[in-house]
Amino acid sequence: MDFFAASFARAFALIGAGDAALLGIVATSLITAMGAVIAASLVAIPAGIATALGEFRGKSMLKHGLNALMALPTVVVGLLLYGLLSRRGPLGEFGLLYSPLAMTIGQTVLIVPLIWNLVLTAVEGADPRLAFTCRALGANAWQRALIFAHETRYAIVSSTIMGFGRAIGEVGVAMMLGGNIAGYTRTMTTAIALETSKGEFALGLALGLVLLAVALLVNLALGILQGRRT
Amino acid sequence: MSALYALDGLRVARGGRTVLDVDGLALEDGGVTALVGPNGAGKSTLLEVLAFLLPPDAGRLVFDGRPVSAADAPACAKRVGLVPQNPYLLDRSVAANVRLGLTLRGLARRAADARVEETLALLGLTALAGRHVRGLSGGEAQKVAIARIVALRPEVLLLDEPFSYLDSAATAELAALLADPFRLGARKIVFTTHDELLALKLAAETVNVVAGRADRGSLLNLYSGRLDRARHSFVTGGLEVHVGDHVTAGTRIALDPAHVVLSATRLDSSMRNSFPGRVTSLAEHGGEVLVGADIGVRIHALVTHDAVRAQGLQPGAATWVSFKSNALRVF
Repeated sequence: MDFFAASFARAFALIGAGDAALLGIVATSLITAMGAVIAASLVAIPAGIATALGEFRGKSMLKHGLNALMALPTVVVGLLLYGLLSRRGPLGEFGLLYSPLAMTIGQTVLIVPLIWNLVLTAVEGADPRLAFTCRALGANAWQRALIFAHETRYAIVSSTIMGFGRAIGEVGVAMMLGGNIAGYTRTMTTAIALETSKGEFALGLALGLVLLAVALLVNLALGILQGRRT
Repeated sequence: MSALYALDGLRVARGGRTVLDVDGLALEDGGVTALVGPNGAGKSTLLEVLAFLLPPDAGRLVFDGRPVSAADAPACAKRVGLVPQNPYLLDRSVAANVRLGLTLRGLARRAADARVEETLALLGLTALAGRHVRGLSGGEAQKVAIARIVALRPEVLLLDEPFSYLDSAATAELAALLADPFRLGARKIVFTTHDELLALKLAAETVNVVAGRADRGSLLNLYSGRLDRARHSFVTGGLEVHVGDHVTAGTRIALDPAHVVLSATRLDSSMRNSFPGRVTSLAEHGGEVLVGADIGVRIHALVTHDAVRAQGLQPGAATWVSFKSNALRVF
């Protein structure tokens, strides 16, 4: 019990002191996850709106596929991208493996299906009268998409926040594509795994507390958005 | 008056089922027209066809003297504005909602601002311009939805059940607003309702829409039943009326109250339909008296005040109700 309490005390001390190593790790985590959210949103939000509003063959299959991909195992994404980005892989010449950009790419791949599916569900769940209103006002396909995006904006932002939560909390991609290099690609999750295995429980715990705080902030943001939506 | 719309052999099917089947219907150019019928009768479908938002599966639709093909529909749709039942207002301010259609049509910002201001003033909504739509009452929301369409300056304003979610005060206010198309910058207003009295009060022209079929005719004397072709009669409730030998099909009849004759004794005339009954109600109607009578079914006759006095018509009084076979519209 003493060990546990002492670890907590050390963890809070590290956070309070603004430990440079700890701050660097937190910054790497935030930057890679935010990069992934921005990249994924650029793809997944338009794709989600287009999928919801469009009528095309294979739509149902696509939706099933997206549902399945929402639970995509991070290590599988990490493994596939490792194969692509490694020196012997087709994208090896770019030298991306074990870089923050590689982690961002991996996290982007991980959260694109999640954001896509959540946006799709939000747009499909919009008030059914909205589609008729757009038609009655003579909106073209592009205008209709913008109106739906505006009307479901809180749900769309919520989906990106959920994507951020998934990206910052994953460990498989960060470990396999980042390599957990100190001061370069070490993120909160990879650091927690490493420090705990080394017996540095306090640092792991400090990072865990920061991660928990980030998760709480994400949830708080979601709660505020949901409150505004209702 | 010429016809603004003419529908001929027009049919709309959904899921293999015919939901609208209009043999021949013309809507006058100008004034207010009410499409009257129960829920699910096909009124909204007809309105969508009139708004050129729903292409018919068969038949001919003529608008303003020109047949409308699928290629013409988008251009015609811009001349018509449809306010749907229980309209959806965007999660924005009143003014932003009214501006929406103008923005979609690419109107320049300054012109759109002026149009929004003008339209809000026209509908008495200026004070609400900056308000978010979440805080509006049912009547205010309905007026904003109408303003959103009126801002586009449609020639024809179509409204689907505009009174269905309003209280009596809001209904009266909206009824006053819709009484004159020119006031809203339109040349014609068409609205749907299931309220026959409201239709009679507001519209110069009424169209019955029942089970997907539409026909101009009386709203008050409207009966459903079956045609007996062998006897050239139509049986409705406990009544059998002669419809003439030219009628070959139909499940409903309509009879204009102005064509119903009341008399103290049975008339010796060419009228094939004459029934004894009792007066059930009297009501003032446009300078005449609308007399309700029970002849096995409830029927209305429009008579003069002099006739009421001369025949001593009052609730409970015996009377004979007569009408010609060719006064009946079978559809």
